[in-house]
Amino acid sequence: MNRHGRLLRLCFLCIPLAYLASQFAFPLISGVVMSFQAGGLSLANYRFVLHDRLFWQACANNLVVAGLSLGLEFALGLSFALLLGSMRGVSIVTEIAILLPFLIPEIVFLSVARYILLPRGYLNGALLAAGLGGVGWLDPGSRMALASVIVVDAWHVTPVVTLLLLGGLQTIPAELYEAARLDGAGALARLRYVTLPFLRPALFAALLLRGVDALRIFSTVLVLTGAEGTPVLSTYAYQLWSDALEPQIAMAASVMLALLITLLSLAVLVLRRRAGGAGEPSWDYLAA
Amino acid sequence: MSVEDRLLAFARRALSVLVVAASAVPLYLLIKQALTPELESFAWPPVWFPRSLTLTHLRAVIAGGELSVALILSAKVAVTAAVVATVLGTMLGYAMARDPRCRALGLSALSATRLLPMIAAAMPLATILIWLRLYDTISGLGLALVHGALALPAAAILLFGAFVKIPIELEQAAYLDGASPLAIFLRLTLPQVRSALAAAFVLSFLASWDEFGFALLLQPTNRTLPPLIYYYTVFGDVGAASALALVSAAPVLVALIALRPVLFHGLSGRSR
Amino acid sequence: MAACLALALGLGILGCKAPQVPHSSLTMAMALFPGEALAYRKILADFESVSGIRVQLITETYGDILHLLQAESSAGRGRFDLVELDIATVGQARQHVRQLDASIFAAERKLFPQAAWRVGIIANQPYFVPHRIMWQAMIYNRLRVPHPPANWEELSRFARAHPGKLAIKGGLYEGLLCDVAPFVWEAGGSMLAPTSTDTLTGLDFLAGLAGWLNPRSAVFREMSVLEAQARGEVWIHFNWPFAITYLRDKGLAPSVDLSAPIPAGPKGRATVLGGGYLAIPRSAPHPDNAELFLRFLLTSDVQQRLVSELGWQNALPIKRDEQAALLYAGFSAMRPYMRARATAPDYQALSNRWQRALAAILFEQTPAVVALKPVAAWLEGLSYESPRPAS
Repeated sequence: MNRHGRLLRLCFLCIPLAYLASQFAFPLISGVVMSFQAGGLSLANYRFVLHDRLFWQACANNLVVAGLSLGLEFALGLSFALLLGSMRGVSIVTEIAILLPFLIPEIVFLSVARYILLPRGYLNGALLAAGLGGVGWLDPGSRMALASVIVVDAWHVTPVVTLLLLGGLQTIPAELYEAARLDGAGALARLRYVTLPFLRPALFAALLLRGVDALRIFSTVLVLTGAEGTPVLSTYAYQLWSDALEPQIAMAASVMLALLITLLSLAVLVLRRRAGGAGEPSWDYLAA
Repeated sequence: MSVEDRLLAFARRALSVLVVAASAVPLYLLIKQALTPELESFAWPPVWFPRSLTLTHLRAVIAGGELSVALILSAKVAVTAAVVATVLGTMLGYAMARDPRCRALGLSALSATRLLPMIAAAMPLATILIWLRLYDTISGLGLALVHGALALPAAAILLFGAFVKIPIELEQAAYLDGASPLAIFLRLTLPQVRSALAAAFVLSFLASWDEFGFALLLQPTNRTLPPLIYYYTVFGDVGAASALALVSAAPVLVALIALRPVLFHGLSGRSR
Repeated sequence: MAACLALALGLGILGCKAPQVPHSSLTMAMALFPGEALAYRKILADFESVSGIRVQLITETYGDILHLLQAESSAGRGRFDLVELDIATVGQARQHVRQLDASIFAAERKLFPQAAWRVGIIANQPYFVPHRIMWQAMIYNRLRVPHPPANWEELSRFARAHPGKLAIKGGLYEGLLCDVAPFVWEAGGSMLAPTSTDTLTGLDFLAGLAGWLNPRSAVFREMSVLEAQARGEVWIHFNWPFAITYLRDKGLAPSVDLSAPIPAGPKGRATVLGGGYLAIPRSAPHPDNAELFLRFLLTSDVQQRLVSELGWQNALPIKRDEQAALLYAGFSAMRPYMRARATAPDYQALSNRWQRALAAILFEQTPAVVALKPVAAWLEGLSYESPRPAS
């Protein structure tokens, strides 16, 4: 079978990959070429970007937002996965509520978040009713705005992490929990010595998947705070393309973002190799 | 039950309640904004319980014709994208499941696509699609193709996970009986991954239905629902934006409720 | 021979019966709000019945129309016969549009003020025709601010007495210039002389106000600041006539919000001229139909319809009822003071540098002289062949 199904598998491999290349690789290449065009081939666009104060601000924001958002969504995702995995009678309502933030249209989610976080929005309204003062959740350039973006982004994506980790949780044999319980291990100890080690492959897979996405954050910032409020690299490039009408400089900024993502992903992979895992994320847990 | 178990049970219940509230309250606010006059939505302090109900926002949005056009376009694009992603994802997932080299290549390619920021792909894609006359079309074909590519990785991984669970001995036995690899795939293997196929289709459909970034940049005139909602939100039309948002979210809610078991089973391998 | 005749006849019949004869259609792209589009289509219907040309109107934002125009121009073929472009992009878009026949508007000069016509004439050739012109005025909350500030001193006093209630459109886009330029002009300065004393006077005044502005000014654009005004978060801001229309539709004007003239500065009053201009793309499939429509449009009757049915401010003497007069009082008062921004082909580059400088001055407390260095450097580098843009 393995020998003779080769042609089939080859087709099954090449057609999707060719399709992906047409949608992503060609545009990327043409975009990279565009980024070197500034009245002839030159590095002028990159020079502009690297000398732009706004670019470095966007870089810093991007890293902070991605890092903290990842942390938050993993903490939440793990909690929900544990909740779903262990509770016998999780109601349908809870299951749907856990999945909802990711599955409703992104713009609907962000729109509601905006109405809640506006200076005269529902959150400040509730705080006012409770006798507290309002907070500038979306004030441009403030730490509060960064925090709002982080929380909204993390909340939006938590369901994905939950599901990924839930899959990993299924691989843990129930007997191990029983054994640990009999040995007198408390809940925290069970978590640390039984759950987490088994979850490691799933955690890494989820981290790689979500990490890259966290760096590509775009619509959350655009809708909540506007491109100037908490600049990140995607909105920085978008502003250059859409408002400043400088598509070549915008492409240079996008290439910088793509480079950043690639470098960080490679760093994570190298770290994993050093930590003793396999060279690539182990997908065997899916087969378990 | 020990104290600790009781505490854990309490924590779990509290978490459940919080999560349900975090989803229910915003949903309620959206419904309220869609059905109350805008003066109430702009009031300060906020009006928590509607004083007067009105259907003007829904009517305005339907009368303008924009709603039905955007709805149909979103549906067309989502179905096309889901078909493309599921078919190609099945192919890729199968190849990855049966051959370690395919698996390595596939994973590298899928990981590589994730490295691309949307903005870096969308701007040159717009130029290419214009040249192909697929930019901003009434059929939304250009956007559907992009959405298919976006949903492909998830579909491929899903089906990879499903195919890997099917023992290769079954296929080998069928081969020894004289069936061709393609026939084995279509008649023997494929039917066994039905739930994963359904999950992949539904997820790809929803991913396309919800997608905002590429839709904003590649279909500026013939809009799908998400860019339309964005424009209304940004234009300070709270009632219309909320009404459109509800219409856009309704199919998702229906799909979630109806297909929850399929989703959970296909995605996490849980048998529930 | 007979076969050829038969073929020709057949083709002729086919041509006559073809459901979509190419020469009788007109496709136009305009930036109209949904409410405006409805009324505009009625005017288009009249044009259709008069000319027999089938018109298709596509509504789009100015930015997207410009992108489409550039794309079609580089492709060499396009769908649109007529496009509406934002006044600020007129210089840049000139290379993509056709020169117009001067007879189109020679007879109807009185329809628009000189300043508006001048924008469309580049290098002594007509390319653009005013479509919807507008200018800014001050929008204020009459319940909270019974006496709107009439000059810089009063504006300053208001801002300090009510922190966060004065807003400007501070996003990184053309709107920032639209809010700041009047202050520069009212001090006697110019966008082309960034470091002159007068310009710096205007900028220093604004920088002094910066600490008292609404904190979200750095991201405000036309619609978001308008929404903030509607919610009562902001009591005074500067905006275009559609702002009053929006507030009226929400039931907030004239009961809560009204328009007033922009506060006068040391050298008088000024406001920025904005709006949409029409042009025929080089890649237009039916340029003759487009020209017919322009002739139809540039008549007193149609212009008066635009004013009365769509609420546009095209600078005819506008006959208005009492309510409308009250709503647009501020705008009527500012009509004599409108000034156009520059229309050079590289206006966008100048504007981008100005935007960044202004954002630094207003929101990051950068000293004006330091922030304006890139603007001054850019203006120095302009070659003297390209005509110096006005104001």
